[in-house]
Amino acid sequence: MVFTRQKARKTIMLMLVGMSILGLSFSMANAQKISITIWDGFTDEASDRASEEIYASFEKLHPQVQILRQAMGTADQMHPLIKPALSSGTGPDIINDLTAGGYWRHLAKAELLLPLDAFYKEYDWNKRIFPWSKPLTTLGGQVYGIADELEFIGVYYNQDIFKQMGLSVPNTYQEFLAVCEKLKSGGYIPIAFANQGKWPAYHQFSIFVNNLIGAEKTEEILFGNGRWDTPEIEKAIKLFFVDMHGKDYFIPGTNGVTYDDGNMLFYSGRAAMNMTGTWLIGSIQEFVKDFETGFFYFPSIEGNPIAPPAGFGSAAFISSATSHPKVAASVLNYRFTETAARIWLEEAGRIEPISFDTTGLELSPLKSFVVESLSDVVKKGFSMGYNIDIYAPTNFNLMQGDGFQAVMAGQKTPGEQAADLQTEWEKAKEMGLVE
Amino acid sequence: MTRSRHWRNNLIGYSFIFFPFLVYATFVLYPVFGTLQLSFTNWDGFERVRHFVGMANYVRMWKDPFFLKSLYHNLIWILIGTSLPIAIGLPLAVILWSGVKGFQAFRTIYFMPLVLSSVVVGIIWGWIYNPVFGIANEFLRMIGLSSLVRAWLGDTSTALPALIIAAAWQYYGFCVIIFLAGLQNVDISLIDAAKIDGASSLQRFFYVIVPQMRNVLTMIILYTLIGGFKVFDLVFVTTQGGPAGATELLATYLFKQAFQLNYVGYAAAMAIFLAFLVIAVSVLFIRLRERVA
Repeated sequence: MVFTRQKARKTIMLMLVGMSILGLSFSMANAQKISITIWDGFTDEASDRASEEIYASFEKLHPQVQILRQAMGTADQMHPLIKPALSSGTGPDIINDLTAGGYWRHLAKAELLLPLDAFYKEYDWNKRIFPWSKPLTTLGGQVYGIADELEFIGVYYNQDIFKQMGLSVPNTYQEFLAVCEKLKSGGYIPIAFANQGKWPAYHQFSIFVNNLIGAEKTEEILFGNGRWDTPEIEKAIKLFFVDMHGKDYFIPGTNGVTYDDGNMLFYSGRAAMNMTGTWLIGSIQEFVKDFETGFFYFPSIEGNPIAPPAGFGSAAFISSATSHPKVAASVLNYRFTETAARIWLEEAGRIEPISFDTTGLELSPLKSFVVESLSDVVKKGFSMGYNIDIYAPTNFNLMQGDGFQAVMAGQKTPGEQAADLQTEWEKAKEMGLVE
Repeated sequence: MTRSRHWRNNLIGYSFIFFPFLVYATFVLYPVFGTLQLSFTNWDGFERVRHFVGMANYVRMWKDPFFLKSLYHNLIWILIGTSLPIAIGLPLAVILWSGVKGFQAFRTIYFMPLVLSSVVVGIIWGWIYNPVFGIANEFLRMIGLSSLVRAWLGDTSTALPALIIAAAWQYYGFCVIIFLAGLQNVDISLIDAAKIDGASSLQRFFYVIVPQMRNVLTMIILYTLIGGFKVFDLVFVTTQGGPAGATELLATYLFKQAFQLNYVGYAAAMAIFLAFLVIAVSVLFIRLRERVA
């Protein structure tokens, strides 16, 4: 066959027409669909899989809606992108962001987030979603988000080492110190506290503040007129960052060890305890093969009742520039149903702020413990403490991070750190970032 | 040459540089002037209105102890971080140039760290410096120097030097390659003459080779100096300015102000100062070098 110029021209024209028809029909098909773009930070395999499954099941129920989800990375990676994206009106419809540091408050103040009070009424979220999760996403009397990922902070421990050393779960702070001393003399690192990232110190501070002054007084500081520069807060700082650090109960050179490396020392059996949150359950299940892991809440200090810090790791928000606020709200509504909560727990090990039936779910002993603790909280009312950093603004958290490193380095006293925390809190109040 | 041909020739030249200049203006000049404008405001990155505050950000900078501390750390980084890779790279280049066996292999090996991203370098050296299982401390224990064992990145007195060493390790290979290229232009007859005159190898190095490498040395020192001012990724990935601000540099401090604390105007003022500092130091260095020459 001779391929003349005329034939070539005809062929190219036919191809172009064909491609145009295909493209047109594709865009027409999608033009009828409503696209909802979601940005989140769920980049780990389990959470990524769970998110995709939840949104896929929503799309099956709502075929006219197409969900375009993008896992954007860490908060530090996402925040510089959210600001210009939302400001330009071209950003996502729904954002899932960390609650720690309260970056969402800046967005809300700049009217880049949609208040959700109307949707709380329409979908009856006030009944379904734990009411004590609302203050976390409330600013100026309006609710801007739905908190997610219920987390507790406590102590994971190597049950095999405890058995071998004849140790039992301590019930008081003094017993805890005795356990640490025995572990140290047995050649183990008592606590896998690794603070190069600075943020692990926030949780230790939360543990000691809540256990020393109680959940009510902590609440008074976070939401009322309480202060950080008090002798009790100073004592909370001293007990952990001076006394326990001075007795070498942490990883040597803790300020120079990453959180992941610290966790590895626990997984490998070199560190006997790890004071961190329930977000680590998935990793523990994945990496710990050689021993049984137990979990207990940090014991009572000076006879005060324990108040394990609890909070919500992230929250879902809707952009004020979204073209489809009702559709976006319906996506959020679906995300916080029992169906989605079961997927979220079983696949990703994360807990939504709703009551749901866990029957039939394949849960490890650790996960089961966390879920049982949650139902205890729900039954008894909110008696957990506060995970301070998720309620605090960024400037306060940065002062926590740098300041606690300085206290451990001997460059700052607990009193100075407490005073600096109060200064940062007052700055945040002036800027309208805390109420 | 007629006037029309002159214009035609110039027009062709300008048309070639027009688009690159457009790209430069869009991605360099426009952001620089935008940053300068922001530095006179107290913008937080969110508000629609940017309030003019005059020189307040610049005044605040000089009263900010953390800014001054960061500047001090940068100066240390420049001093040690500039001289260390050059002090390693130049002698290595001369040794390779003198005709050792395995020249190609060594050149490749020395260059390899530069190929790695700073994130990877940070992770590798984080493990090397790990106080529990890092090979730095293991090596010291092995050779009987347990007293020198440290939490290298966790100790406020060692964190900055430790990071400078990691940066020098990444960068010295680049110096070797550039010096090797520069050594191709060294007049060997002068070296032979010096040999005949009885000059030792060290004397030949300092009095014959180094003077002929003046231009290359200037280029490398300038490049390293500028790099020393804008160090960010290695510190951000490892210590994030800690412990207790011991490794806080201008770039990391500026990043915190802009993207974590949302003091965009203040961060812009620091960025303008940093740019001015780099230009001033570069110009001073070149002038000084010309005078010495």
